[in-house]
Amino acid sequence: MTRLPGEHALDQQVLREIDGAWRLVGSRCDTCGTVHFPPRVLCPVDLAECEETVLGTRGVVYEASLVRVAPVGFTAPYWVAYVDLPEGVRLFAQLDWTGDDEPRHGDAVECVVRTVRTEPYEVLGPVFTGPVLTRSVAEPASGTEPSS
Amino acid sequence: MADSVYVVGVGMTKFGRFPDRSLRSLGREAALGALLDAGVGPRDVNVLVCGTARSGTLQGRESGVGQLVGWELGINEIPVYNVKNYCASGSTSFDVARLAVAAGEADIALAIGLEKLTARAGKGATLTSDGMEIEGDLGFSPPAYFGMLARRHMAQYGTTREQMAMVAVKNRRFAARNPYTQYQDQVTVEQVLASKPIVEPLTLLDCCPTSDGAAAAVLVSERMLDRLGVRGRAVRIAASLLRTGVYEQVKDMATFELDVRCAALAYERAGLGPGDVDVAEVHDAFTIAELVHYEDLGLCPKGDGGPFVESGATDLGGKVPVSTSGGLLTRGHPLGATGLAQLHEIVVQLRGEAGDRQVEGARVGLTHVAGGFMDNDIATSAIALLTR
Repeated sequence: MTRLPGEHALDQQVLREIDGAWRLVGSRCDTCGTVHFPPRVLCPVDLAECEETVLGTRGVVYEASLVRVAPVGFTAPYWVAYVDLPEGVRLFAQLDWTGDDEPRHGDAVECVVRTVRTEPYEVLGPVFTGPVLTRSVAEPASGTEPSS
Repeated sequence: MADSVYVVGVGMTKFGRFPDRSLRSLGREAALGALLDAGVGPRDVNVLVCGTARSGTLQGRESGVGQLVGWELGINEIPVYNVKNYCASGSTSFDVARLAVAAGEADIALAIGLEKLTARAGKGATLTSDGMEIEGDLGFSPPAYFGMLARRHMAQYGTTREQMAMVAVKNRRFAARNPYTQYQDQVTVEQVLASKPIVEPLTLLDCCPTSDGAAAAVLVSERMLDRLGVRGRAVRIAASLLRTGVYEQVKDMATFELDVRCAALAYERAGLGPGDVDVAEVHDAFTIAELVHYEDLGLCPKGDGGPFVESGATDLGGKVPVSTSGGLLTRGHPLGATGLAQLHEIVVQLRGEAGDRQVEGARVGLTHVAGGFMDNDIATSAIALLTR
């Protein structure tokens, strides 16, 4: 089912198609440099106008959990997580997790953009896949080895 | 500082699933109960405030629930304020009523909170995620948030699954002694662990139910106490604080900075500390939440919520009994009614009228609601300190 007129669209708010690939975007304040996700028009600290900035695709799991009873439009079970990006933002997303062990604080993950919801309308959004075996982002102080 | 404001009457319906009851029926019963408890007539009320969170979505009554309930009781002409503030809608109703009396605009205010959630359309749709629209489209739900919070608290502080379950067991025990609660049967730690998984590690019995209900309170100025002859049963509002989040992006999920900040202000304004609290009602929408609230409200050190409940400190006879009404977990959580139902319990406790769940000698009570989400943080904190 397609999105109804007036329903918010994630691909307009937080995604941009760049060189044929969907990327997450946030906002960066010209004055203080703070990055926000979802993108803001004005920086809440100094009210300066923010500029759109494309976010990196590698992140680190802050915390995750397995949803057993799904809200309408989703099929349980599925993993959800708060993922920290190196720009200093944390976002909620589903995890497409293929590891033998449960995802843990500090595990490296990679953002892909795909259809995350089909009912009652289609949603294109970020999903983080993992575990990612190569480390390429700063890990939390108590980070753990990526599970194999 | 303005003169004190007092609570002189409380009323509420039993909470539960009442498919045949309307908003007006629930509101009428609770408000009439509060008026009768206070010995105040509907014509004596100077201002009416009404809190609901979902009446627009669920009953098509977006505006004017306060007028609707007022009409039922012959309360007309006076100012009516309708407020919506997530799960804190009832607490906000209370606080607006307090402000009206404190400002001298009213001598007698009626605060009402109500909700009818069982009529919800779209079964399975999450109802408490205003402010999380993007995340909602990605699979967010309040239980998902608290499932992650639980895992973080376990990882950081060694909190156990069993300690969370003990909150449900304790609150059920209280619920059996409170006729207003939705669930009164007892559960064991084993039953909590074995109930239907919702979001790891939380099960059905770790989560508050879907409920209908209403609660109300009559607030008066200092000078009305003797005129109404209610000084003997009056409960003083030592502090009532309503605050909003700061929405930090990267934060410690195992604490609510907003509640810590709001509690500090409430204690300061009341001239009291956490050690003075004799009985507390907290926003135990999930078992893990009650443990975090103990810590954030200063009832125990950070990280000690699990051992604190396990020690019996929050049970009857303990250091500070918490959720003596049964809490959201067992009394039920009709969003707009919850803050005033908490007030109902604290007023009953401070009057010494709580029967076999009475906290002996209770003189200082606390109510706490953590309402809704906004930008991955809780949106509203409402904390009140009440004294006798």
